[in-house]
Amino acid sequence: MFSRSVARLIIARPSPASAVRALATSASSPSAGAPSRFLAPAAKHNQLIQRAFSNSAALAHGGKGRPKKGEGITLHFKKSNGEIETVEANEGDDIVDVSWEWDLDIEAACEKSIACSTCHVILEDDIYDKLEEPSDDENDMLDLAFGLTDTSRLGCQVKVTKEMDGTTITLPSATRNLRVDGSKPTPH
Amino acid sequence: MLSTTRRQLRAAPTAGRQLSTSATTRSSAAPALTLGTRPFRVGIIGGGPAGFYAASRLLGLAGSENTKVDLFELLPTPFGLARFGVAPDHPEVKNCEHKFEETARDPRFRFFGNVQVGGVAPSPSSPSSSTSTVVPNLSPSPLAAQITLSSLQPHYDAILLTYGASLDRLLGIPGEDTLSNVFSARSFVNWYNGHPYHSSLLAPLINLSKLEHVTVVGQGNVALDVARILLKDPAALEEFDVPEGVLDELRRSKVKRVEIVGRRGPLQLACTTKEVRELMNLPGVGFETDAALLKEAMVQMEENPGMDMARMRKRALGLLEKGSKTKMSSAERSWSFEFLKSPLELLAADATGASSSSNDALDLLAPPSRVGAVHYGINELVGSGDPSRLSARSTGQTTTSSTDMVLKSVGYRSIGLPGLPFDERRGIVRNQEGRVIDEAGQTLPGLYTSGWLARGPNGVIATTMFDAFATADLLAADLSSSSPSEARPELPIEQLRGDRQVVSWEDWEKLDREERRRGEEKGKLREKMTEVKEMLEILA
Repeated sequence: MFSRSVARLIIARPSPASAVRALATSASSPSAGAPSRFLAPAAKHNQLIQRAFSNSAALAHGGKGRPKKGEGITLHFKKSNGEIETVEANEGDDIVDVSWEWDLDIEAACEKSIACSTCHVILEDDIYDKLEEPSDDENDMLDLAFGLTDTSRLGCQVKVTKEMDGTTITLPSATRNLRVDGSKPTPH
Repeated sequence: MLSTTRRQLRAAPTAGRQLSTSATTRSSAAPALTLGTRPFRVGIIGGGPAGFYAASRLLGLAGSENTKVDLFELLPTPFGLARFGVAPDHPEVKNCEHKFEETARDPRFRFFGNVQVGGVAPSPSSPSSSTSTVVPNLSPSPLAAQITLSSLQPHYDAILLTYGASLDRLLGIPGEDTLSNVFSARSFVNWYNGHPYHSSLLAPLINLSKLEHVTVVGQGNVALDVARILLKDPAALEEFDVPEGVLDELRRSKVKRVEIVGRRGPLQLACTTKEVRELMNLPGVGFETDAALLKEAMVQMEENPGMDMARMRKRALGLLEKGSKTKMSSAERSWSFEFLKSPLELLAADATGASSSSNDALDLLAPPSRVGAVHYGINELVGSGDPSRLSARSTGQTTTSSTDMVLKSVGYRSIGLPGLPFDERRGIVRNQEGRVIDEAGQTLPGLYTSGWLARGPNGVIATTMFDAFATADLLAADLSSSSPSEARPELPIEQLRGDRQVVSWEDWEKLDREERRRGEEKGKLREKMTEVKEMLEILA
């Protein structure tokens, strides 16, 4: 669990405002001020394990570990503020696993049970085309996703493959201006 | 508020309101949003998803080491609609509770359950305050500790109101309040989800063995949830957390037919695809709707590919066209979507029999007449532009359909708190992006709101999550830019609670374990306790 405090690889693209943001964020981000969720004390962890008989798939929200440096599949995650974060992932892990492992801010509220759209990601065209079609269940959830595109998927349904090496996965921006019912917020 | 006082969010992209992109282009290193290790105290009122997501966000911010969050909840149980709203056969949706549990175990977080803040009462001018629908939490809860909002304020740098929308919007038609077998869909949902305030009240009023035909007014997801629970084989619900008494009632049910009625058409449906699909896939359950209307909607859809939520509407219409695998002729139970109908009056089953007794006293003692039919006005769609936004207008024609039970599912509204600016028309606390404002638009410092209380009762948990994250960021930004002040004194809960019991997080965990234990005995997820009294006795 404590590998989270290892400094991340953050590559600021020499393009627009995002470069500045990336630098500003990288200084403060590794595990700063996020004590509860990931740095679980042992006692808490045991408590969670004891309760694992429930219907939960992943209580502690841990990742599945990281590949040895240089041996994994390189994925670039483009956050909604333009920051690019580059990580290495294991083949076969899904995008939410990767997010949990690297603390990438994908929420995954339903813990990969295809019951919400909070792990929505946008893929590059060629990667999207190589995947199997989304299931009806996944499409039902994508219907509700914020900022849906033609190459949107639920991250929990996308397994990392060798072909993805070097691809960029975009995390959609979600603001309160995008509502599930499509209504525009009005001043009240 | 532009430029200088705005803070860049830390690692907050998925949910973040992106504060001032323009500012960052010229600053060399905009500071991340941080609470600056200052000893802030934040009070949150309402322990549903909005409250918990906001708490988790605040406690995850940089510099929040000395921030403390106290969350107040009217019931001894946390999670609000995740526990009492989400359908029992959607347990995966409740997985968000795991995150809430992690937040709650943080030493900077405290849970105060069984505490009613503000003596929650409807604001005097509320148009719905005189109605007779079952809204027991309007009045002070007899078992909960009572604390006023004003007595909380000195102890918190900010108070976030997230207590949701616990009133029903009304149809406002004759028969709604006077006939039996007329309920709000929310009460019905709360009944099958074991809500303490509704379980005991509704249980004696609901007799599914005496009725075959149910009418649900409204076509949102709540309406579809209710229909699914009524149509589904009860055996398929046993493994979840439906209270045993409710399962017994569902096993006795003679319900054969559920009509889901809306004032507009297929293209204006408010429900989501998943819920339609689930109904279509119920074994032995047929579906029918007006084929001509559906065809018309399909044509309109093809002609307007850019309409709002086009993808979802297209998929939903596709499902309706495909229908159920079970043919109506072989269906044991069935449901229908009825379009372009607005209920004008609910009619008594014995309306023709004229129960004109001369004895007023006996009339009062007699049980109310049962609903027997709905009188509808038939609508047409009017307006231009996006066809998904068309409005319903009465054609002047009417029709009457018989029914045995009416469940009203036409939306919710919130309850105001004394002294809190309230928008009566929308039924929400007045606010601007989560900051509570008065009628003149002035911000009330230190008061915030999020979730259904802030933006009205719609959207899924993800919607509330994004909203809560954004409001928490806003609250934190305001706090961090405030001038340093003395640390607030801790709330003297022991003095304020009087002789009432306050339920801590550890207490709730005890209840949780007990519910799971009871559930395990019966081979189900949990057996909910449906009475506050019992919960408090276990903890005493």
